[in-house]
Amino acid sequence: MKQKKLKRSPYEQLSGPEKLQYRENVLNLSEKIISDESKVKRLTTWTLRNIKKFSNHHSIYGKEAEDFIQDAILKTVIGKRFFGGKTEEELLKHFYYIIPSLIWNEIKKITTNTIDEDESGQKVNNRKNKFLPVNHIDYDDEEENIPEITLTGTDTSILDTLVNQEIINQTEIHIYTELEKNEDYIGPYLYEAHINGEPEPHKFVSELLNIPIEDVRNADKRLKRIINKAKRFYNEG
Amino acid sequence: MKDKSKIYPLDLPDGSQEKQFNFIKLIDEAMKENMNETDKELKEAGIDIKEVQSKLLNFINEERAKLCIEKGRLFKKAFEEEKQNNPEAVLQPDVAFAFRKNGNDDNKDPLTEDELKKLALLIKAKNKLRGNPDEQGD
Repeated sequence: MKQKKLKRSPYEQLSGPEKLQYRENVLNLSEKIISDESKVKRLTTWTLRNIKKFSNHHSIYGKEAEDFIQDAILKTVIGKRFFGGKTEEELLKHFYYIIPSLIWNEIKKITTNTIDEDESGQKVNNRKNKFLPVNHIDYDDEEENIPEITLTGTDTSILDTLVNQEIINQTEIHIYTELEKNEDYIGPYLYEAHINGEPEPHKFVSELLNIPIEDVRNADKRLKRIINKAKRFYNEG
Repeated sequence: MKDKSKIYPLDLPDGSQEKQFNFIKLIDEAMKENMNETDKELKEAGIDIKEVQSKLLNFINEERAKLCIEKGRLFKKAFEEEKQNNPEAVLQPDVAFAFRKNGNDDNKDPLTEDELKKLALLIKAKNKLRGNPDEQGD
């Protein structure tokens, strides 16, 4: 039987000199990020919030926020979590993106894909049954917040996407609840404008609702306070 | 053949990943504009950000040192390979001058045959590591 070829990761596709250049570039950009106190504060807070969200503690098996940031740097440097960008800002976002799934990995210790033999000696791939679609998650049940997922070694990007989508889903519930409670009708439009990547969200919403831009700016401040509190809200109840 | 994309339960519409990055950008902006809250959270968790920075910068330096060692190892390998091939390289005068300047500035003697060969091999090995085997070194 012909063996199926494994897809090479973007890092593995680089030549030897390109790999060295990639690693040097990631280290240089990481150094710039870590030297910036404000960026480290935000990245550490983001990591801490996700640790608390998944574990209700400040650390997981002794691993603290800084250890997960270190993991994120290392996994990016060695290409396990490939960084396709060029700038410091892009790398910072990349760290934000991969850290939740690194934390989740630590908690769940995700099972690797295995091929077993059944009674008749035929090979059976048992990965499929262990997947649980995103929409099967019951938000009211803390135990069910983490779906069962089994991944092969190169599927980390899928995990990153799933975990981040979960975070967005849960944060959105809080944002919309708070905006509704405050009868803030500008907030939802503004949130959508940000999420849809509108280059000038304030101007966009101001024109859409035909209201002064200053009102939109004030709504933006309120929205960001709500978003910031949303992450704490999970952790503290 | 079964479509591999169907294996994964990703029922996400197109552009979802871009939206996720926009969400991350928004989260980062929200933290930036509410730094007093961030400071409070870090303080409550007993996190000293200066210590975090120091630990992570040390880690980056360790990784950089490992990278330098690996570069050196590969450079040596490339140099040895070039040495075996025994190239007849043509050197630009300014490269030879730079090579000499690293040693003794007052030495006006021309480079010896051995020095020229060694220099040519070093340049070739260096360019090989950079991925430009035919480029003249600097």
